[in-house]
Amino acid sequence: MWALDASLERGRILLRMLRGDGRGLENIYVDARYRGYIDPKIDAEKLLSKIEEHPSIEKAWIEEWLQPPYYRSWRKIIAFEVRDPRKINEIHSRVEILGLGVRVNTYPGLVQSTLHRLGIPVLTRLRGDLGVDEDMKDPLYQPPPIKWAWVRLLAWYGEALSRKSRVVGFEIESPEGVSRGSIDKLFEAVEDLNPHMILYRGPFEEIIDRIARSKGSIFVHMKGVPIGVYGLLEWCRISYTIPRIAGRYSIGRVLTSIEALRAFEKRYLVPHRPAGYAETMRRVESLPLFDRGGYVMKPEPGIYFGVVQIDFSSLYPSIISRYNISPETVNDPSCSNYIEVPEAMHRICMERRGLVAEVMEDLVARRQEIKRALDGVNPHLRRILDERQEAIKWILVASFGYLGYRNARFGRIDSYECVTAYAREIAWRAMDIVRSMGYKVIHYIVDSAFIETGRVDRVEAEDIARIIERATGFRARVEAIYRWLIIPPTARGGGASNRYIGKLLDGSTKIKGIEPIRRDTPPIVKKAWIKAIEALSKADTEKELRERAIEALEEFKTVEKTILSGSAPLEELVITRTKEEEITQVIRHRRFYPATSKRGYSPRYYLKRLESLKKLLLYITQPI
Amino acid sequence: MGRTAPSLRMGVEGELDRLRKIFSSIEDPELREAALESLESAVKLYNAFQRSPSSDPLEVILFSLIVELYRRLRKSCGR
Repeated sequence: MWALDASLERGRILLRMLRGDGRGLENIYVDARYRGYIDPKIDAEKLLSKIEEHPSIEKAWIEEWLQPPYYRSWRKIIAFEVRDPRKINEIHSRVEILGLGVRVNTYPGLVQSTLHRLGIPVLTRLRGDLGVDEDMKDPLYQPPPIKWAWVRLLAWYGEALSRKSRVVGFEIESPEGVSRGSIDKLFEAVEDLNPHMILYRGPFEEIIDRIARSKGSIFVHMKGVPIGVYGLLEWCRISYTIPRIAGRYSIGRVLTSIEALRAFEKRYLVPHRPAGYAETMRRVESLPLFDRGGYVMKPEPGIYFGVVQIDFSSLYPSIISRYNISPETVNDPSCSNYIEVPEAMHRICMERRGLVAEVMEDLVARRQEIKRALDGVNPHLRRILDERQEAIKWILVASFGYLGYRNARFGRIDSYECVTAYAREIAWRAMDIVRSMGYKVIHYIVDSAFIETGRVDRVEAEDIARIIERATGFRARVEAIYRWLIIPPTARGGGASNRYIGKLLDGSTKIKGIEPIRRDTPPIVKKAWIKAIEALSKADTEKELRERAIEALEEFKTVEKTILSGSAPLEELVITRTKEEEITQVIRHRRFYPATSKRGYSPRYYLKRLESLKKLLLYITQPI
Repeated sequence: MGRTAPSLRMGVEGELDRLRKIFSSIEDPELREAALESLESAVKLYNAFQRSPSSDPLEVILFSLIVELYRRLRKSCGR
């Protein structure tokens, strides 16, 4: 069976268990005491004797924990246990108000830390005695047989994401498929499915919660990152968080939870509030040298033929893991075995494994194992594994940002500078080796290199990736091979990083940072772009590109005329905007007005939105 | 990441904007045209300078111009 949900009660935890046959949810009570920790401001023994007097405290004792920032010295901490979880906060507050100590080890949260301490992992197969019945480290685990239902409420324009939306229908996705209906049939539809867990993302959570409660289902209100249900289950498993809580979590919260639980295992004290360790003093003129991100090359605008895009896999997390970068390992004054970071004025201690480095190593390895297993599996399993690796990817993406954030519990800017320094070093090594082979690097952005080979040859592309791997020591892969790649000029004349259109080997196009992929692009502009790109995608050579661009320009002039004449259909001019999950739909006339009013439009505004397309087509028609 | 001090890119763009204003004010039209045209070569070494940036963005601009001049001289000498 699997633990799907947990609630803290006086003296026990209520676990909602999914049975092995996947039928219903069963309630199991587990005897439990809840633990609090206090870092004393007075003598530890004295504080212990005071705390023991509190009537709610069943047990109190002194423990030794390693204290931040470098976790070198031991500190005496008071630990205590209570039956009533609400008493923890009360005791902590009292101690703090009296100035006797501060609460610590309060993160990730009482449910998680208690389950972790009792050895009851979430969504992991357990025996009848609640012992673990599978390898917790195995990322290819069989998902629990949860009957889940993902509810989406619909307005006339699509998903109802605004509280002001008029909800007219619903869509429910479950392992069986997708069902739809009018809103008055929602309850029946949920009843028919009889799910263990109902997930919902949107503003009407109280309605779905009520439905879930009436059915005895667990309600998960999804906020934050758009991961799927199997991604959520993965997050829950690796962070000891129940789905009901994990659904509300940001990526950073999941990451910090994993780090905090690892810190507990190492006996590292986790402060209640991040200490906000300031960086060391430095001269202002040194900032441009050290306070930098990854290398971003300013590309020359142009049209390039035969371009290979090589990406490093999980570069920053791999750097963190490889070079043992963690807040406590960077510039540790007590360390005698360290490495110097190139061009960063920092040192990294190699005497012991850094907490963040260790967590990153495990997550990178886990993700890689899942990705390897993706080949040759059936579509259903593919979806599950893909969502899992995507969920881990989000954590890896956030890990670097949190590492550099001083208000994160495991973050310091010095660590961040180490990572970017190594990333730049790796970028230069990669570019040097590629140039020494006679290729031209037309663009590089952080962990992605665009190399002009002049040929469309997968074998050659793979060879380049392997050479880069050997030269840098980091995994690289061929992300794309372009028959042609257009880097349009900006208003200032140069190219912009990460702004391009390319035709891939299979004939499809890849667009980055250009108008049609913006969410607020009106349909008329989007369609003009799509038509133009479709025309361009038929070309393979320089001559063909120019010819197609000329054709597309003619088509473009037709659209221009339609807009200028005032006869463009209003539904083609609607701009959909999202602000804090509130969607509005407007049309521009003298100013923006609600689309339902249908008061006409400003041709000048919409022509301006089309200007970048016109500029691009004119650019392509010029001789290269 | 440019928290307090500007990044190299911001510094170079700032200097270029300032030089454009200055050069646009040159009275002699021929000199003005030459000065403004020279700015087209002013960021040629920008990418290379990222390898070891300086706190002074003018270094990028000056060395870009000097190296471009040197290149044209070499070409005109047939090298």
